[in-house]
Amino acid sequence: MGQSLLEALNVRVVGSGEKVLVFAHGFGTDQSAWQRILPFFLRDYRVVLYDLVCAGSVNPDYFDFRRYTTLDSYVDDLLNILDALSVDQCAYVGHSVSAMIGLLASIRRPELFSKLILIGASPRFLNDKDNDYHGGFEMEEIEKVFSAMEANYEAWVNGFAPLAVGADVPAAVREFSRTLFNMRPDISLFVSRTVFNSDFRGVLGLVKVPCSIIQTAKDVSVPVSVASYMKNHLGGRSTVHMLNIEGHLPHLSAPTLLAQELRRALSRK
Amino acid sequence: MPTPVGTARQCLTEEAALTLDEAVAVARRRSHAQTTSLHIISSLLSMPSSILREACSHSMIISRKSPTLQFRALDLSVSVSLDRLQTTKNVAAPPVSNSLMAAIKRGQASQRRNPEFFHIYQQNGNNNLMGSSVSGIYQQNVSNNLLGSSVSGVKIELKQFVLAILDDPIVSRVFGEAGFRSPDIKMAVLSPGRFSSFSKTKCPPLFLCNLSDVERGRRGFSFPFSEYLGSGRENVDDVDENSRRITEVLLKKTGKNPLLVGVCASEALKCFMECLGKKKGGVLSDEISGLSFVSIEKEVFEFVSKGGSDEAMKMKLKEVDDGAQEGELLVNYGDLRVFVESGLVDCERFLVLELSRLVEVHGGRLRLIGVTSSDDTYRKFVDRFASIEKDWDLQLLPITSSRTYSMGGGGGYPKSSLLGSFVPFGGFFSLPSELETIRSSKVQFTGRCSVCNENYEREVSAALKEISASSVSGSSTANIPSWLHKAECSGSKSPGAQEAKDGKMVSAASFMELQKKWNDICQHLHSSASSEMSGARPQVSGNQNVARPHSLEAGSSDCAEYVVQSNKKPSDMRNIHNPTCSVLNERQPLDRMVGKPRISVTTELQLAPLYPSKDKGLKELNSREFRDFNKHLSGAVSSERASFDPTHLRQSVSSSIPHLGEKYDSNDFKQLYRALTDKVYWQEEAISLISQVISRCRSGHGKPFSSSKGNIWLSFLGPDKVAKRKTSVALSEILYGSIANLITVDLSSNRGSTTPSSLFSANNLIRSDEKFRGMMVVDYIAEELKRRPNSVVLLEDIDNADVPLQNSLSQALKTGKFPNSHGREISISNNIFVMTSSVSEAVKDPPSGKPPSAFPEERVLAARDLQMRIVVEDAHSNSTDIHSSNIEIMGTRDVQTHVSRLKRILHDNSDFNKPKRARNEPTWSLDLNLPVQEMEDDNGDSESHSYSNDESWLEEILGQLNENVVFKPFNFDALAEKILMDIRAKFQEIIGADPSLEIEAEVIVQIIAASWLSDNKSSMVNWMEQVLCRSFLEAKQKWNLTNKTVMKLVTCEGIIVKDHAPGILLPARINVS
Repeated sequence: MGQSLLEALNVRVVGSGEKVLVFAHGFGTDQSAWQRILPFFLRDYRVVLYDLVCAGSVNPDYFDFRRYTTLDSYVDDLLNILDALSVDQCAYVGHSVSAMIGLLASIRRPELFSKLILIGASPRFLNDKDNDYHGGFEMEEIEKVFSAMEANYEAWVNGFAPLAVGADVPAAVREFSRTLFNMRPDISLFVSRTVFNSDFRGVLGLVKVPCSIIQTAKDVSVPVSVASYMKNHLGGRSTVHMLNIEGHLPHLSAPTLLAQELRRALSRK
Repeated sequence: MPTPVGTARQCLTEEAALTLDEAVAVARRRSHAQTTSLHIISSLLSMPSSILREACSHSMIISRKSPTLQFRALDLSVSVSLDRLQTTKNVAAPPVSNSLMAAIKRGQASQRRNPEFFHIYQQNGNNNLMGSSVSGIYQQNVSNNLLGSSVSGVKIELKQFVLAILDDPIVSRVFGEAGFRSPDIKMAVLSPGRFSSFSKTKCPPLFLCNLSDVERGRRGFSFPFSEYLGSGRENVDDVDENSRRITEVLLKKTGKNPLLVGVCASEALKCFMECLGKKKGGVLSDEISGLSFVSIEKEVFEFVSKGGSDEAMKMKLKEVDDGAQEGELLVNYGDLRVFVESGLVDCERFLVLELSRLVEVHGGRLRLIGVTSSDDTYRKFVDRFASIEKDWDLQLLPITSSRTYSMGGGGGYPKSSLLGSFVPFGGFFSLPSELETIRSSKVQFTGRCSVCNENYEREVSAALKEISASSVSGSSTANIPSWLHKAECSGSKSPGAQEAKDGKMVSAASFMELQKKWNDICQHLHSSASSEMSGARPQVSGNQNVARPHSLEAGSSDCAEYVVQSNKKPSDMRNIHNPTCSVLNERQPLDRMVGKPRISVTTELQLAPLYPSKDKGLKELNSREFRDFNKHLSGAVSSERASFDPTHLRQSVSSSIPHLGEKYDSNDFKQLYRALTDKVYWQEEAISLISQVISRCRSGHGKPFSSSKGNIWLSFLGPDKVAKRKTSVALSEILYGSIANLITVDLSSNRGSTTPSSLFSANNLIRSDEKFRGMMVVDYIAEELKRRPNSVVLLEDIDNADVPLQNSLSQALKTGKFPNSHGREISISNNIFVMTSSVSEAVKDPPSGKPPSAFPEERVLAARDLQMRIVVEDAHSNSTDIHSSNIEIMGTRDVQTHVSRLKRILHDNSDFNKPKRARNEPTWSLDLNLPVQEMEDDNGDSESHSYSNDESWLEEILGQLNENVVFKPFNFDALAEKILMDIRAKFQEIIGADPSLEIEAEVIVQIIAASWLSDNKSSMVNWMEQVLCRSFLEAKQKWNLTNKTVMKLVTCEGIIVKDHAPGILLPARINVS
């Protein structure tokens, strides 16, 4: 079972270091998103890369629409992978949805994670006026986005990618469009619904692992206030690092800067 | 077995079907037994504006071939191939051949994968999609179509059809014979726009399998998830994931009482209870479905919040007790909040203890379930009841999504219209990277100047044409009309083309040859070009100029003639193909010829004691000897220089011997030295060292780096960023012909940005390449090295190099190959790598007793490019002027005191930087979690952490370089003093001694910075005369200046200079207001 899972989710282990470092990509990308970050860590870490089951690079048949209705199932996958690789402890770098997956995983198995680095993470994307929470999105907007995705996926991708990348880095936009477009539209839509339906606010306190939250100055998906919200509510010791760049995908648009920040965050105990 | 035409037609869209009909007609006319791909091609070509024809002509434009000729050849070759086909009689509609049918199926498969056509597919496929299970549909459909028994699914569009047919081996052979490359045509069909850049290179054949990931991974292997499917869940689609997880917890042996945590927890609980109420199977496995449940939520709430009646509560607990006696019971106690936030501690305690008792008494038969919206509540709960986790056997279950949301928002499951309709288009977009390799392999060898390169490319395309043409004439000679045949032959009379005629195999070899040839030619041309370049410099002495004509004359007359020819008539390359070949063959002797006369010429000219040119002892002219010169030189007066000539000549002669092929006039130490000192006159020691090292390395006497090839590795240490940059710029101009061959990477620029008003951002010299934003530095450098193989690579602030760059540099130093982040290596052989660092041993301990400069380098680097203005005020009227503290009074007093006062002012003034920076800091690294102190510690900490490895790397790599050159600090104080003195002189000359002049510190800094940056000492003098003096005059005319007035030279805050004075970055005029 372990083997087939490793195969199905394209798990790769690279690097010559001792410490294990997991890179988990976010929505709309696959493990190739880490390509430019990777060289910074190969010397000092054993890096585990894998694809989320929803990624375009994974056989879409593996995506079970009944199973992947909550992020918990993704957490199962992550933990299964780490167990199959006999990882005792690792540092975890998760982008966007994977950041949340990492949080959940660390609640279930705190001993497995020495550190979580969360890039572009948000406990809840939707605004919640009752509780004075600003997630950045209104339900109606999201519904519009969803119907746009349904109507013409390609057009949506072409519109969304530059928006998400934010910074004017054509290569990054191209790369993100490619991976986003690789996702089967129905899966993509389904996962977005899952993500937008998630609400981590109640559980952040259960995370005891130290976290570093990396937030860019301007992110279409995550308002800056969310980073401080996370910091205030996470149960473990956590820090926020602001990157003075724009966009939701710093690993594509500013890999060098992000890599330096990651190294710094990892070296901090 | 051939397929009937009707069946095949079903697979095609109308447009494509028409083409097929046409093809069938062709086949019938020629009474062929079957309709093949060739017929399709023939019918496609016969249409006046077919997609294929367009693609063909497009691919021809790119490869600069003549369209009419090529199309004729294509038509002929098609018809010849058709002639060869088997004929029969009495076939009304020749059935579709297997190979054509296979092509059609390939087209279908690829179209299904191609999202462009996905809606078409959807329309057709939708009917059978309805009703089947979610993932089943997808599977079913794919397998249907793959097996090919039913062709209902996809109708191929013409474009896909053409692409599929081009894959047919017969077709590609026919195209090949006509001189087309079917991959090119396919590329043109696919995307006409993107075609241009890689036409002449050999790209991997673009078969459909390259376009998309084919039907991989359909082998069934057991996937871990299937276990969930196995548990009888097929019919329980509406049971959600949360309920499943709750069930899992309930089934556990320990920690079996779930506490749902999360904002959506109560909804999840409600859902679960509903499921339980309906006694659904599936998720709620048999064990659970037998479970009865009771909710005490309401009672608990009333009991606690209203101070409630003990009776009702006790009744309920009794009920629970009884229920648990009878069988398994699940108790929902509701929101945990009531146990901690009611304020009635006794009631809470009572309840908790009761429940604990029940759990203890009934053991496995009683389960508790509850929710809390926030972990905060839970923490308080645990704080209050320390052992509660154990007593209640709690298991926390984070709930992060709610089912009601997902159901509400337009259905949790995707709409069927999207289902199964789309296979990811994986791999297509990654194509460019492959193409890049090809392009890079093409570009890599361009060690030529642009003219030669152009000629080379032209010749290559000519050769290509010849090859293709000759192959046409070879394979189908009989069928080509005689005129065509003749034309081709006349084009291939030259020996080079004769070779090419031997077959396509030759082409690669002949390209190599052409490359080599042009590289060679360029070497000669280039050396002359570079001397031409340096000849244009005023400071170059006569003897170098002489070298140029000789290097040309020295070649055989053929060569010279050729060079002229190629420059004059590049279009006529084929005619002079012959002479170039002869040049190529005679390369060896030619080199020698170039070498020899030159030596003699220079020696003759220099008259000095004539050393036997092959004396090996000369090579040992060591650096010590040069150091001696430098001592002289540091006092450098131009008249003295003549005396060094003989010696330098000796060096240049000896150095030119081992490297006959590589003639760089810049080998010459002295020329380099002069060119550099002209630009960076204040760093003489550093410059003479650099010149020495470079000329030594060029002559093959560098440190023994056998593997680093022709590369020179230097480090520029110490302060004076401007001098380092200027030196690098000068090196690129002198050694590689132009500043365009300077690759600048400021590694520190990642960390902050310069303000637009900075004087240094207005200066091109100082602007580092911004282009690598978003790229990794190694990739950027690798790419630039590919583009500019002969170049100076300036890496500023090497201490900030990231790990990949460190690795790449180390490797490049060892192997002469610079790897990019993907490990692809760019071989480097003629580069100068300059790494700068402000750190150096010498600077770490500054000479004691020396007072700190009034102008630290950072301050001058931060100078702004502001407009200046002159204002006149009454001497004593306005003592509260905001500028007063920034202004140096210059009147009758001694300059020396001004400077010392200036220093004080600047120091006071520079304090303003500190608070400002402190204010800025939080925006750079906002560390919300830490108190300020801790944050600072942290920053310092992390800094040393992340670069701790790097220092050792830096030391290591600096030890391996050819030379570490230490720059000394620029003496800004002296410059400031001189400038103040000059200004004062001008002021007194024009205005007189009476009025006093005040100059804002900012202005002084700006003038110093500009002077530091300017290439020429005289431009500063010019500026003073033309701009400053004119403004003084203007002011004099405008105002009545007495000894009570104060004239002030100040900056206009926020106004950036629009026009700069020639040669210096100072305003072309000063406002007089």
